[in-house]
Amino acid sequence: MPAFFNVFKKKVLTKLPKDPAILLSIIVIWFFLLLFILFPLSKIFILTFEKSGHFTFSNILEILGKRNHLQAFWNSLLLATLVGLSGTILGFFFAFTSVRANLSKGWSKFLDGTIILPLISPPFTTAIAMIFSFGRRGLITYNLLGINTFNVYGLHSVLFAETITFFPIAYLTLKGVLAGIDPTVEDMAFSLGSSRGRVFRTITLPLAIPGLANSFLLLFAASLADFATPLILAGSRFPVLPTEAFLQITGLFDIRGGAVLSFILLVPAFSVFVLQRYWVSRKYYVTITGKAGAQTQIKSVTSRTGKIFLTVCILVSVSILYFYILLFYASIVKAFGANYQITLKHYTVVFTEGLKAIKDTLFIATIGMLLGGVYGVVVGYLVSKKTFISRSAMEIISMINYSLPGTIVGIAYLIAFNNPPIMITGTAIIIIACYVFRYGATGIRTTVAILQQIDPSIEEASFSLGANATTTFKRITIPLILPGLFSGLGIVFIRSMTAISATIFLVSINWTLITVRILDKMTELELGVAAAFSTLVVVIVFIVIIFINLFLRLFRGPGAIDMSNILGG
Amino acid sequence: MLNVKKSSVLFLMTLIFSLVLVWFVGEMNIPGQAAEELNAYSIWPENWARPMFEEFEKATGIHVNFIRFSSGEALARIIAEKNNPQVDVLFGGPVETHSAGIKEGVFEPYKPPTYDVLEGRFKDANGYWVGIADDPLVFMSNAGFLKEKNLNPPSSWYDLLDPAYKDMIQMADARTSGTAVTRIFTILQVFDRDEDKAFEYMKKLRANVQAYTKSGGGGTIPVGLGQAGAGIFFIVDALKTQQEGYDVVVSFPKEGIGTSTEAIALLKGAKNPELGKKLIDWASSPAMQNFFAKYKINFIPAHPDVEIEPSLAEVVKNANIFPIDSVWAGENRKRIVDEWVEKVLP
Amino acid sequence: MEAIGIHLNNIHKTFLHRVKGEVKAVNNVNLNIEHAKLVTLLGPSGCGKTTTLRMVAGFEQPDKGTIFLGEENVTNLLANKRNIGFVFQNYALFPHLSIYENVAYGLKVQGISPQEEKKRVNEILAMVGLTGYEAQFPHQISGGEQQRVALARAIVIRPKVLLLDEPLSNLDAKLRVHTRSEIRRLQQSLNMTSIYVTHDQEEAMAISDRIAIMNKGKIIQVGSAEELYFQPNSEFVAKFIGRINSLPAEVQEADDSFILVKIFSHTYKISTTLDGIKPQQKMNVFIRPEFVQLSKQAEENELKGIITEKVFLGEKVEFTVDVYGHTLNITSYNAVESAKYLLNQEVGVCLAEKELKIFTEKGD
Ligand SMILES: Nc1ncnc2c1ncn2[C@@H]1O[C@H](COP(=O)(O)OP(=O)(O)O)[C@@H](O)[C@H]1O
Ligand SMILES: [Mg+2]
Repeated sequence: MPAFFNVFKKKVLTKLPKDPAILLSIIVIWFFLLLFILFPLSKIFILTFEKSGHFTFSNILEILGKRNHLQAFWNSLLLATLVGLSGTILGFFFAFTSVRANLSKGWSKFLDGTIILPLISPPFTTAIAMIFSFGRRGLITYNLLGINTFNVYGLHSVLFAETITFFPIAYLTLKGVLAGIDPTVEDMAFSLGSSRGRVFRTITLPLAIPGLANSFLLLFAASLADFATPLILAGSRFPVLPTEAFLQITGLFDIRGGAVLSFILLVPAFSVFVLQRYWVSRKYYVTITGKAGAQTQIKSVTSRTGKIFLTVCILVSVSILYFYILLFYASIVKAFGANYQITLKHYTVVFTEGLKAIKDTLFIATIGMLLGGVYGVVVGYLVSKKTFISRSAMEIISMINYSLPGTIVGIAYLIAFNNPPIMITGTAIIIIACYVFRYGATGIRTTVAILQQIDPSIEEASFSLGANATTTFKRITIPLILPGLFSGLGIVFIRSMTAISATIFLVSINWTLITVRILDKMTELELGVAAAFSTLVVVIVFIVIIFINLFLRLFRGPGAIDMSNILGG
Repeated sequence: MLNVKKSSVLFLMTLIFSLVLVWFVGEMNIPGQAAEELNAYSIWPENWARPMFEEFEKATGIHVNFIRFSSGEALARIIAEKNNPQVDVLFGGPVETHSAGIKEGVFEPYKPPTYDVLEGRFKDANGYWVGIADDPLVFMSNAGFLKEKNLNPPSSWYDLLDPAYKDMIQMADARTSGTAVTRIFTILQVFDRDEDKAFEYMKKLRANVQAYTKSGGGGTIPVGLGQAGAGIFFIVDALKTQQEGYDVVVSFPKEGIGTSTEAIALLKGAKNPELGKKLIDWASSPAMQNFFAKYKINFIPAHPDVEIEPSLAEVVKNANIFPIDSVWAGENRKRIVDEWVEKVLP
Repeated sequence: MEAIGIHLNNIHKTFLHRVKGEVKAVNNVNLNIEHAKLVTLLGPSGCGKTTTLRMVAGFEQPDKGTIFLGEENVTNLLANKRNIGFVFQNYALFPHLSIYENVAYGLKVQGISPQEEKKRVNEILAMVGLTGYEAQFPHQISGGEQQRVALARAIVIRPKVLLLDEPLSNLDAKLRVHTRSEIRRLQQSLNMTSIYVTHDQEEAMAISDRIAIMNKGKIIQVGSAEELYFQPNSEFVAKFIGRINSLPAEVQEADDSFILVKIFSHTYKISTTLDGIKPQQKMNVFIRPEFVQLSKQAEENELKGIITEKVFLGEKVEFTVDVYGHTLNITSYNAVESAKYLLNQEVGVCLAEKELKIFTEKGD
């Protein structure tokens, strides 16, 4: 017994933080993590594996026994794989062009600017634009090409729309990877007699492989989780899991079925999470660089190839821009496709009927941002600067809701918080909690990243110059982390403005969201109003981004993290 | 020294974080209902529900908070919230939805003053719901499409099987839409409730379906725009499309087509039952139904004293329309929809 | 392989720099390197050494001028056709390839047989002392070893010329001295015409046959270490190679064969001719620290000064002397003699007249 106690003391007690404030913070955070992450998730497990008090697989078998659902499972995997591949290829193409094709400043700004658009857009944007463009009476298919047999519903459309929507993630990931490859390494291969093609094949590509794998997994997860695009574009012949789970619950009022479907979705999603965390992230090559050499005039593409690449990129960017212009245009004409008279009536609807949704959304996003920010900083600080017994568990669990498809999180919340002891369906708190514990994770990641960047010697230097602890914290630490924190907050806000997959289950008569109104308007075929709402969201998000960038310019320091980098992941 | 400072800041932040969170929980759980407000889920689209509720507020001073759902969604929500109802009234929607709800025990019986005046198919025997309008299904086709393919407006269920319609028909998805459920029961009825034959027909029809939409009217604009050639909709949606200026043709099958009662019901455990009842009184009376014409809502009024709008009367004049037995439909709804999802949808 | 010469003729290169605007990185460079010789480009950071080297390698295209490798004009030849060995400052090892694969890369490109490849890689690894490291990856070995891999990789393809861009700057001082003689040994035994870039004059003097001093994109002077030290053509070269004192002077008299200048209180005769020199003209006169001598008592024709600093460095002693408000550096290699002089002592300062230099070129 004493032996056991000694082990206990050594293993547990000595690792508990001595500082009571820290200890309390840890306990409080754990309480919330249990309540808002593990508890809801456990409900999904219970519903999936329990039947009249017994453990069983029959629920899963029953759901998978339905042709439609089994089909949805395979479709989801197929779609995610295809989007992972095509998005990675397109993203790599863009990244390669941007990093290696000697772009002028103007062009790279243009590419970066347009590519960011899909990342900050409300859901359905691409889907709406697709229907306007490629439907039977679409601007492109019908008016331009005179085709009226093209079917806009199905795998091809979802694949296209999701690729356009998600490839910026690949772009941002791979741009970092490619920019991280020391160009002298390519020069060297070149000088050893390799042709351009061979340098690309034997040097550039192999060095980018971990990045490619990472980007594939990110896109795979994004597509797997995407609810909005397939809901509009997949058509009934191509069911996928998130929409099936949604329809199972909202249409067939089969909550258990929805839970089981989301569990089935959880399996691949979680595998990707694990793969990404424990495998790919460890595979990055350590590029050996001493002192940085002279800037290199990159030789990996000839100027002619560079021009071709740039042209292709510009074409893709222009089509993204076109989608947004189309969206705006649709919001100011009477009835797109039939009556192109300019009108403000859709905006009138937005600012009368839709006012409540706008107010609710802004309120929820603001509160979510503030709470999410505090939560992010606290957890980020704890996991990166403190050692305590449940540290890595805390780090992983705090990432769960962020990594899982929103559909799962939404359904879990719906099930968990609809009954005593915690009955918060129908309140704003359930939506806010969902955002805080889902998107607050970006806050955690930013904080961790910033704290890693801050060399402890900076703080020490301040001490050695005679500053005391408070002054150091105020003058050195806070200014260093503030800009990064601020962009982290911005991301939480933007995500809260544009999210739907989780919150669609959580809106209520008291609290509704713009994104859900967009979906309503789309199902009611008020596409003009849907477009107007979407335009509004894009505008609000843009204002937020401009605001953040202004702020960052004021406070640029080592703590400043590029906004786009956080948007990507 | 640094650590003490930092950790107390950290703890303070954690504290603020949890206090705000807790404050919210407290704040949100107290239902802040004003005296003269009631909550409703509307299955009618916002465009129609909103003017009705505004007129109601004018007439009674009672404000209606509402949110619009497809019938399946609305029912799902009501069932999910059974222990903690968020609304008082389920407003509109084909009666099969309400019948299914009775089975789940989510409604409170209430017979408004108009109850006795209403025709039998416009009220539930126990008063769980009452009808506020009648809404027959129709075929709606794009005129340009018909001309292009050299077709007459479809006048039989079998016309829709013509390969000319391949990939050109849009209709609603039974998982979310009451229109779809009414349509499926109509087809069952057309085949004398012979499920094998009816499903056989639906599977054949599937080949011509371009898309199943989430809401009942989801296909109307695509048909109006010519993105789709034809579809099966409630008359109210079809005529709205026509009124908006789309060149569409409304027709009826000679074998007959079903009509559904649009109903209203009070929820069990409603937080404002008295206000809810007032809304039901008003909606089931001419007081509301007289506004249909004014707001160009092409429902056929349920109350016998309300004049049917002349142009609407003209459309349905010679049509073979039959009511659907709501009890039968309600009892079989889930089974039939499941079967449809399994057999027809993929 | 037969060694060949390298010839740069009127090379120009201008960059558009984001901050600085147009930068003339290389401005009319002419350089001829005989076969099997090692020439060092020496100059301060940013003077255009790397750019010059990269143009020889073909990584950069000159705006103007021609580059010849032997008889062949390679100005427009791509880097992968020039058969050049290049060693980067940061080594540029392929991080995803093992040491063996790194070294074998160039051979694989040439398409030689696997046996031959193996033989040559092993040979070269033995030469640089890395036998047994074949399966390691770059991040698993030390900086000095990485440096040798980079060297092995560059020379295994038997290049016509070898270019090295500050190859030792990432090594510690001791390893640097050792490795530079290794490089010199390899270069001489393999007879490779080489250009070596550094900003370290000692390294340059130790390793080169000839040194080209560069500044602001131009080559200021080319010569052996001795030539540059004893006959610098400009103030810049004189200051860059070794140390030199600069003293204000006024011309008294100028002739075909000499100039008389007055430095503080005394007049010196310098045997040189300069065009357009007029009496009363002010100029600077230069002298290296070791050509200044101290004496206990200022003689008739000597300057007077006060010792402000004395640093004992073993084989030599360095003094700083204040002469009429001017600081003069003096180096003495006579320890016994130097012991006589103390801090703050008043001393006589003797400038060796024939070592006084006047430069018409500033060199920058
Ligand atoms: N790719 C480039 N783009 C812009 N300026 C450059 C580039 N490469 C070099 N320079 C500039 O040219 C000058 C010479 O650079 P470099 O040849 O690298 O000098 P060194 O190697 O002698 O230190 C510097 O001012 C440098 O900033
Ligand atoms: Mg350099």
